Amino acid sequence: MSMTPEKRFLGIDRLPSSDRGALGLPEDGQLRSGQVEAALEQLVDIIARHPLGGSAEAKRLAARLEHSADRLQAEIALAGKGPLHPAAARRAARRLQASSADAAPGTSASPASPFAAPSAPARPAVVAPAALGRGTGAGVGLTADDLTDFDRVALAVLVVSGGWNATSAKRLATIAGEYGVAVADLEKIVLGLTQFLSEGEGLRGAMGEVGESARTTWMASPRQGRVDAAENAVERVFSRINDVLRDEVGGGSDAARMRLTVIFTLFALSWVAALGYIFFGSSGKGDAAEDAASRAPVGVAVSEVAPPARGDVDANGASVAPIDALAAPAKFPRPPGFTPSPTPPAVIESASAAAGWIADLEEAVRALDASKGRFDGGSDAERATALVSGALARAADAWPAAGGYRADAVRALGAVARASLGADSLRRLMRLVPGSSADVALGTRPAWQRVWRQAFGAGCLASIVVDPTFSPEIAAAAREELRQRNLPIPRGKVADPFGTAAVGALVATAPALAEQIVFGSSSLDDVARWNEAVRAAASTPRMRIDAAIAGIDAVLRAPGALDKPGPLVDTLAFFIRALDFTGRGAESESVRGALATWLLDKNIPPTRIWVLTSLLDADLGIAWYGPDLVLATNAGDDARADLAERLDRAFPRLTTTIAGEAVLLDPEPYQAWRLALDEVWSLESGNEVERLRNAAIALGVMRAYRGHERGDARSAQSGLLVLEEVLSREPEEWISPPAGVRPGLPASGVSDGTFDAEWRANSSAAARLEAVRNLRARPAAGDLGPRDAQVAAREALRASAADVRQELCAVLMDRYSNGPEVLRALLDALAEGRGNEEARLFIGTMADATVAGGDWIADARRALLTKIVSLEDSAANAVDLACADIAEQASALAAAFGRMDAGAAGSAARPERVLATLGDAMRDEAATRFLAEPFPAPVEEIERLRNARRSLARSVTQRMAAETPAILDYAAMLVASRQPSLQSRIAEIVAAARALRAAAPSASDQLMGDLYSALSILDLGLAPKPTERAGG
Amino acid sequence: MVRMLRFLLVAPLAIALLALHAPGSSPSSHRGRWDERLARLDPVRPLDYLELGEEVADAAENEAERRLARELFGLAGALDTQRLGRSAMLALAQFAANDEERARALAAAELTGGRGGTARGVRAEPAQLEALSRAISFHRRGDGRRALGALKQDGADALLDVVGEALAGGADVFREECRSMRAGGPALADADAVGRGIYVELALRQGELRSPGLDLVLEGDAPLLEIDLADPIGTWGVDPSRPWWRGGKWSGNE
Repeated sequence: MSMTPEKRFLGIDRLPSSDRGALGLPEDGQLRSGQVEAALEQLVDIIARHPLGGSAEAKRLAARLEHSADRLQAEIALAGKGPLHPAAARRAARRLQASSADAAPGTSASPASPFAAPSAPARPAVVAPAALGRGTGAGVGLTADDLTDFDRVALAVLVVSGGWNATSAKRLATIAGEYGVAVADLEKIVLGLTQFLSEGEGLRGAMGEVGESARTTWMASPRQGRVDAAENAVERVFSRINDVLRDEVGGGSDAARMRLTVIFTLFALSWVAALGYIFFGSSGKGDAAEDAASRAPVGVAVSEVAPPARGDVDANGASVAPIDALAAPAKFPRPPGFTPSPTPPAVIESASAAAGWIADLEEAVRALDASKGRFDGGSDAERATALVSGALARAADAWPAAGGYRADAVRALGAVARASLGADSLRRLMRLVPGSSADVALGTRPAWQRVWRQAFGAGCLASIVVDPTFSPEIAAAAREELRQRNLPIPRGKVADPFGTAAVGALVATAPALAEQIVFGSSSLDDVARWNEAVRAAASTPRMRIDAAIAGIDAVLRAPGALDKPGPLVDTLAFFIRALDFTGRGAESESVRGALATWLLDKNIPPTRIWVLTSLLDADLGIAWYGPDLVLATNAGDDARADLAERLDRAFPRLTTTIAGEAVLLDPEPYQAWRLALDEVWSLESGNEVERLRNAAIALGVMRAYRGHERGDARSAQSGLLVLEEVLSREPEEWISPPAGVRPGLPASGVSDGTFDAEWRANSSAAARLEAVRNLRARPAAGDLGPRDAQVAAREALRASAADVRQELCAVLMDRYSNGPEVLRALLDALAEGRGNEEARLFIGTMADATVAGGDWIADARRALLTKIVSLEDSAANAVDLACADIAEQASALAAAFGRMDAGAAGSAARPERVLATLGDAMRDEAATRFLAEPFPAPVEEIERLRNARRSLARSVTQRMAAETPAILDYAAMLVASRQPSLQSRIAEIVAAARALRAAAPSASDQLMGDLYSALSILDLGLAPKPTERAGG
Repeated sequence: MVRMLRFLLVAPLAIALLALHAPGSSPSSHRGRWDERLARLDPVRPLDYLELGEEVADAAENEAERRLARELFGLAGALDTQRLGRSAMLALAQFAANDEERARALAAAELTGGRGGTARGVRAEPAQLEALSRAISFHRRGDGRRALGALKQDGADALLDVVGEALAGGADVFREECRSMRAGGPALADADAVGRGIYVELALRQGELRSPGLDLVLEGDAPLLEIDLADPIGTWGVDPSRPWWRGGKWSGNE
């Protein structure tokens, strides 16, 4: 039987038919976009790890899974259940590119295709349910080509607004009239589109095309309402009157004067008539309506008088507010924006020789060494100068295309600086760095390349200034050069000095660039190159976003007209698309701040803000931006402030997306989790037993997390039960010996020393036998007093009379073998020296152990000690019990992380070994997760430190404490891999745990502290499942 | 006569100059003799700091020079922890003022660049253990003289030094108690002391496989030595952002 791809790659017989089943997701319940992506990623990862992971078969299987994920994502998007996962969005973008490629002439528009449409569908037609009936099932047989313009816009609005809700209803109602679609029909259309999306196959791979055409339709359609039409008519009439009057007045003839008199008289009379009608005319219908209203019975609810139309509520039944009068957005014949032109071939060619820059700079170091580090005019110095200036000039002209060579060039420049000696030489070297005003003025370079040179120079100099490994003299020379160029001098710790300074220099040129675009001395090519440099220099999204904000700011303040099509508005739209309006990252805060600043800045006219807000509204990628956020062209300060406030409220907050990949719990288990955590935090930890107990409980609660993560409710519940079980133990249970044997007690009413006195009183064998028999006759006796025990033990081992000694041994074995005092006395009696064979057997019987060998005294002591300890209540028993709990919980947790062999060990294993196994299990799990960069540290470093700590640990608690930092780090890694946005908070917890650990007074404190910190991190990864859909 | 006068004038001056340059005359002069080499140090070459630190440590004649050596070792370790951290920390350990400080430095050496050796807990040779066990028994029975005698056998004294803290709050306390016991006196009545003797002896006899409870009795609950490598000043005692020797002190490049 041949093996199916499912069996080969996933270990299952066949892929379930449902999309959820295919991805291993629960068949019921609401899904999250992130959940779908996580499931997909896991399966694709399994496929990729297979030795045949690159085969066509594997790719087909992965594609099937991706299609299942896409269908689920579409359902989620239409249901409005949270934002689309970035991975899904990227996949959709890839499909769009693929579909664009397929759509080339002669490919998709093949006449053979049953779905091929010779031309765009007629506008008035809507897809709606009627059209859906064409196929055998709903949606089947339809493709994106069947959609009308309005369908496309509606579909795009639905997707970006998170489904059919108040926002999408408001937006669609606004545009429905312009397409001849009645508001009452809107819901039917939406229903049809929803079915089309969820059941149909036609949209697959074409969503991007639909979105792009929707954008074009949205931006380009006249969308002229009745009011606009009336305004235009009035305007035309007045223009005509104006022309006539101008001709008549300009004529100066008597006839003209006569005509003017007649015209003005008629005009005045018409005004009088109009005023008379307004003041004295009949109220007509208005009065009738008022009368009717006044006659309405008092107390009738408004809703009864005017029940809301079905269209006034959204899919949740929530009321949709009446649509306010909105400002008409700016219109353009085509959507503003542009596609950046590719990097010029000359630049690419120059960058391809980047290795030569480094070689020249290294050669310059050798030449400089030959000239003793001086740029003094000697031949070697001249050669060094030529090499440095040549290499840097070439690098400055092409660095954005040079990739990693740029950093190498900066490093090589540093080496040249280190080789330079003396202030003059350093000054000369810094002047060789391109980008000074004299340098950019030279030559016939295009404007964008001059900007590149400035940015490169700023980056190089800043790299030297900030790097503490450069000597103060070198740093001072670089600082002076920055001062000469009027560039900001970076101070303190800067993560990426080149990027910060280069982007700063580029940002400083943005206003000039915007002005040059207005005046025509720069083009969109210059903007593309500027943006290319920003992208190459910026090492963080924040830098890129700040640069885009600076670009928008420059455009808004530039002098040219913004409401007319042209490169300026194209630049504005280009920068808008570069910004992050999702609220996902911390960077979006600066976007929110910038929007508010522009709205409130009186130096930016409202007409320009009108264009900006219109473009934001038109960008269907900014789902939350609605037409109600478009500023009117005549808006005053109050209106601007009001809009700024509304915009701030509408801007998505980070908290709305943070739970994207969290482990979601139903309210009840989440409440149980929270209660358990509260209880853990309030546990006392005054001594080592309590701390070890708390560590065991923390491990149990970690098991609960793992159970929730794996969807194993039983395991989760069992983890939480540990808390109750451990805390319900009585104090005696902790300290009592595990074997349960109770120690013998001395007979009541017999004082210690009685036997000693009898023994001493008469040394005859008969008297001593009598004394021994009295010992046997003591009622309910299990032990002797210390004094009697000492005498009995000594004589049992060494009494000269054999019959007395044997009788004494027999009594002790029969009655006092569980007497702690007797056993201790025997132990001490052994210190006297070697005993005979009889003594060996006697001790063995007393200690319940076999005592043998030439050096049996050592064995005997050990056996006696073990028995003594096993009879006593002690704190050591409590420690053993707590450590057994730790071992049990850690082994169960390790099993939950895939180490099934650890689960078998249970509480019998040594706790430090089980914790080590748990650390290994978590490491193996963490190794399967993807993180852009290691967090909180690379696995190798975590393991190195773990080994180092093991080598320092001496006691059991220290050995346990040597394992827990790795457990904490891996917990951090696992949660951060699910929710990268939590990294900063997790890092804080990890740092606090490290400090706590360094200051801990005991190893058990370290153990407990680490596990508590791990628990805090896992807690961040849990979130309550929303009970109803959020937003709308 | 003239020669005598010249001698009288020159001699005090020469003596004063000699005194000024004599070893141990002043801390600053001692640091001053390294100035030239210190000024040539460059953080790009952290090994230079370590090598100069070794030279300074070898030639150190006063506290100022020893401090300078410590600073050089610290900078070497802080500037290149991965390569030189362990060596620098081991070098710093030789300047430790006490055992605790030394243990901390050695632990830091392990954490900065160790490859995971094996630390051993308390272990005892069989004869050593038997002798100490006898001493504990005699001590429990109130026979201090014989307990002291047992301690003198087979290196039991040395083992007592290791486990004395767990046994009686210190080896010297145990010895002192033995000395103060009168011949023929009563057995030890303190239940806690009796119990500690039992548990410590059993813990020693069970070796590495002892239960956690016994281990805690013997080894205690001292924290595992930990250093925060993210805090270079706390770890190395120097500020790595000030690696340049300028004007007789460490400075940054601003």
